[in-house]
Amino acid sequence: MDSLLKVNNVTMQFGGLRALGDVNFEIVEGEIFGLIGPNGAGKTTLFNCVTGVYAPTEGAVEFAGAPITGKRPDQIVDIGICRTFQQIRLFPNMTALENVIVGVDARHRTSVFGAIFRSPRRKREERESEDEALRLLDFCGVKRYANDLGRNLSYGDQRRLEIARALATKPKLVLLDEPAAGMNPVEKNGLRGLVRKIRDEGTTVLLIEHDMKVVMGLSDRVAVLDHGEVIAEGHPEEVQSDPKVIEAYLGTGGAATDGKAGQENSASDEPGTVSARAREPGGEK
Amino acid sequence: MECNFGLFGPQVVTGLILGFLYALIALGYTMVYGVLKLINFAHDVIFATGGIAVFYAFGMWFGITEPVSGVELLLVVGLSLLIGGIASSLSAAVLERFAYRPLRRRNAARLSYLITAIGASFFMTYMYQQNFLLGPGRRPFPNYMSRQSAVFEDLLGTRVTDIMFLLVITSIVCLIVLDRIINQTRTGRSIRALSEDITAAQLMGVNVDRVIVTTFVIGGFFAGIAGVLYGLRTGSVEFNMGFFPGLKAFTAAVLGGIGNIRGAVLGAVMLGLIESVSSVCIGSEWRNVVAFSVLVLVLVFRPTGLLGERMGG
Repeated sequence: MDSLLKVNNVTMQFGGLRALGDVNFEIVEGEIFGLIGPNGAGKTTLFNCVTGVYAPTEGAVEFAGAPITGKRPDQIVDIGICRTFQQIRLFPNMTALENVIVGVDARHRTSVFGAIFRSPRRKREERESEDEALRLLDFCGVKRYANDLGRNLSYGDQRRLEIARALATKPKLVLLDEPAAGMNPVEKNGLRGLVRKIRDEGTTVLLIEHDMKVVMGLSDRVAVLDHGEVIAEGHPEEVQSDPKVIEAYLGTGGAATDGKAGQENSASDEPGTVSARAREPGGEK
Repeated sequence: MECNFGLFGPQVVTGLILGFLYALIALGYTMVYGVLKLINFAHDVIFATGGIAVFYAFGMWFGITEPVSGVELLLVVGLSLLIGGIASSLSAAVLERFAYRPLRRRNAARLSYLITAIGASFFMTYMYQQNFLLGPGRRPFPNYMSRQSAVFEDLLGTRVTDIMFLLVITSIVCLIVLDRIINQTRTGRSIRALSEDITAAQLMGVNVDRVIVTTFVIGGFFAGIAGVLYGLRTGSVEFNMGFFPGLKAFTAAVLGGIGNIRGAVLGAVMLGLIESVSSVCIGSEWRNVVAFSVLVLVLVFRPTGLLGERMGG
């Protein structure tokens, strides 16, 4: 099995705050890889480093054997990585169909003149884009809202629409940032099915998730991030019983302290000492 | 003070014509605001560039300065609009590339954009004033279209000249074309996506720099066409010819809801009408006062403008 994404010694420093410290992991093609960790552990920061929103302070990200650090976000999409957002970021005043077509369009070259003088080739491409977008809406179970504005969809459907939009760029790897957040148990069940379906269609999935039930049930492998460091990695069952992970999630001492204060010097601290505070495990655990 | 209703009809017609001219310029303000949240105060010079380019091309190089007619007229008019549009598009693209893009790279504050825009506007205006370009005075616009001949001798009591007719028809065609670009094409979709969420658009693979330049180019093209039409109508070009039309078009864009294309058109037509009707009802020296009072009232009572701040249709 080939590794698809390689995160090598990635460090992200914001002034005095070390959000990620020397993070290493690999994602193998065709798997569902779960990334978990308490609030503020650096999961979304890592997503931002992979998708080109941030350039990591140190370290490198490799995709399919080639370095991608320093590339622009849209170039990284071209290479084959796309994502969804923890806070939904649809285009609220465009229809569901148009939202998805924006993703499909990214794979085509645009020219103003071609747009004004609509050539037969362009018309055919437009039709193909639309068909592809409808297929993806159907795949994600939101086809019936194709002509509704993004902002008028229910919360759960907006999350599904975001996934459809990300898939429209035909990624080899899709990054889902807490897709189950705010969903009810029925919706969460449906989402699990959708994520499996995405993997079965050949797209590798990197999943950030707070809900342990969702992430443990879905993932082939899991990495646990705490204070910007990977404290455990492996099969869900192994990770779940890892004492360091239990510590990070439940805390060992009883004293709850402010979550942000501990982050600033987390890199030099030992996981045991920093995580000696109660933190919410999230989800329905 | 009573309105002179005998003059009302003609004022509606001239108001509409004025409104369409403002609309062509206002599109550029509103589109750039839509994607960058920036008021491009240099847009008035981009407008002027269209007229000035035709002044040079026709007046100095081609020597087309006498009225022509028939098919020749159509070709000459088409060519002049094209030259004006392209010249303005180019100047808009250069402006974006060298004035605004460096700021974007540095994530500059909103105020820096504003100051840069004003600086760029002055720079370009006073470049045109230099003696090796236009110089300080008015220069005659090439007279390739007869100023006398009229399509309608009496429309609501107004004599509609060929030039007025051309202005309205061209504007309507431009507005329809733009509406199609924005709502039905891939380029338009990208522009709308950018105006809704620039980061999300980039993370969905939209090449942000290219779409922004395209926006400037499209807005510049329409402004250039407006510059040529304005030159034809007034019969002259001047280094600062863009100042008042630019300011009025900006007002129109705010009136309709800045960032909203259909709003800009609505605002422009309304502003044109208000201006021209008020000059009969109150007196022509009051028309700017009335026009800008409308702006103030809109900003106080409906800051998002008549149609609100969303780009699509």
